[in-house]
Amino acid sequence: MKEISLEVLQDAAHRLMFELSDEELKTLYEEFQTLKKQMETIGKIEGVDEAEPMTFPFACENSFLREDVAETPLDRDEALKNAGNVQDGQIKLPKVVG
Amino acid sequence: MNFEAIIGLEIHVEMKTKSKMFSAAPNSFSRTPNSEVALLDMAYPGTMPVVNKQAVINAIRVANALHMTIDHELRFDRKNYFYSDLPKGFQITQQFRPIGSNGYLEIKTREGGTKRVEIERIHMEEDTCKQLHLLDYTLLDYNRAGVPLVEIVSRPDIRNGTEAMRYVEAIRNIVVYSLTSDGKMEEGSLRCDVNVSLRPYGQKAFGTKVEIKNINSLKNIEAALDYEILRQNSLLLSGQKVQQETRRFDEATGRTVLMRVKTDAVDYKYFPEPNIVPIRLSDEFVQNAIDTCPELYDAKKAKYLAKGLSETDAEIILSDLAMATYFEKGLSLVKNPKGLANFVIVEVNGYLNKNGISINEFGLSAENLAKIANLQEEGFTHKQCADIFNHCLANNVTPEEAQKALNIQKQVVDEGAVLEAVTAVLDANPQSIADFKNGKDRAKGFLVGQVMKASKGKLNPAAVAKVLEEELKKR
Repeated sequence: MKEISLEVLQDAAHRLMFELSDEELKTLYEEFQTLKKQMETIGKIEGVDEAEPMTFPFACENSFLREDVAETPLDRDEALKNAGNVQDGQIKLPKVVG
Repeated sequence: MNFEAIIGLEIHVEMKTKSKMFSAAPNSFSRTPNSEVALLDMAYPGTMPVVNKQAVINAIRVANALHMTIDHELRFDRKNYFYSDLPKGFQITQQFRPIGSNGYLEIKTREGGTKRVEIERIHMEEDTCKQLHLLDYTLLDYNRAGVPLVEIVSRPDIRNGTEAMRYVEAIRNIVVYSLTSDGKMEEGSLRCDVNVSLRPYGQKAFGTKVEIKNINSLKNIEAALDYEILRQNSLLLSGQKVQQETRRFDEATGRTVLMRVKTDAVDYKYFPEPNIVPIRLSDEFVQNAIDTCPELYDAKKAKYLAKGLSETDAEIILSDLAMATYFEKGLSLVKNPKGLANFVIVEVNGYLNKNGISINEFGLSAENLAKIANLQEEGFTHKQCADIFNHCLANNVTPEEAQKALNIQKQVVDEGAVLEAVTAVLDANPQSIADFKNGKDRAKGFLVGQVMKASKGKLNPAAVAKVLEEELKKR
């Protein structure tokens, strides 16, 4: 596993396009160290490598499927309300392909 | 060195359900952008996906037609990527547990044999939004976002363009006749991406593959692949390498054109969709979906052949689901299915093409067409029946009314009556008999015309020709 160092966290923040102050970086680093210790503790449990990963907290399933009935869609103005820029009823973006 | 082409296909099929895959927004092609969206399709926080029952039924039917193992537990996964066609930032798909796996399809090869193409998987997912890329900006229409899709992935068993085309055609027939999709490549309801690589015969390892995207017709699948195989072949023969890249087919030049060179594969960081718990499909549910599947293309074709239609005629009628439905409405009402098929293929198709309309807009009911086809079986000539057909359409009347209005009567086929008329004409035209004897075949046509004229068209021309032939021999 990749070692979580201050540099790794700094790089991740940079890639996600936000700035971290030194204090925030230190807090985050310490949280990761705690996490790492917890993982090490869990790793010591006998047979843990054979345990299947769980996607849901409980092993549950249902058999519900929605009937194929169309309902009234969102009002168009309502649907576009959050868009920064609208043209001809469509959301306008800077060109996304070259 | 001789190379063998290795071809695999990924086909995306848009389902024609009433609502979307995970939301209840309508799934009907609307020309008004962003008029058919629900909160979920726009990724508003707090909205939850709920699986569409009909989409599951459709997927089961297609999987069954492709001889696949059907998973009775539905699971969905997230495919994560950041792009404007997907407001959620991920697409819900079935990466780890496709609903169908390990199937096959049989196709005819270029050489005339049959071949089994194995199919790796079929899974359900949601479509993305439609992006309109203009000169310096992009417009987004979310009507298509969330439309149910099935993706069908073949194993790399296909070896040339013809096989690929026939494979896609067979898949299209299944999705169209199971009423899963319109299957229209030109409108994007069936989309096809092709992977192709070359390797020397006898070599096990695959060569570098090239992807050809969004080919919009069956014919172009064949053309694109045949061109691409030649292109890679000449690269390899001249000692160059094939680059891993994505290309598109340019219809105007008949060539594939570079879109982008592939660098590292994108990591979509798939993980199980936490908002949809596993769904257990009962054996009854799966079996019922299969049992209630509408009759498929191959079954219909076998039925038509058994009723005496030629393979070509059956294929022409089956090339359009609406046409086949129309034909079948009349089928149980006619004495001769082949006669009805001829009317559908020649008269009906001719009328539709001439007027630029579809069979759904056609003015003559299948029941009335069956009546006209039966008239021909009763001794009316094809020309008479065609006149009735055209009169019905022009005046919006029934075949009975048309027959009355046109004063069309059954032609006489009685040999005695025909013989009498033929003898009279022969007696009156000794010169034509002499001409015929001297090898002028046209004289026979003239004599038939004379008999028809004398009988005012009441005699059956086929019967006249037959009797005339016999009588000429005797003179």
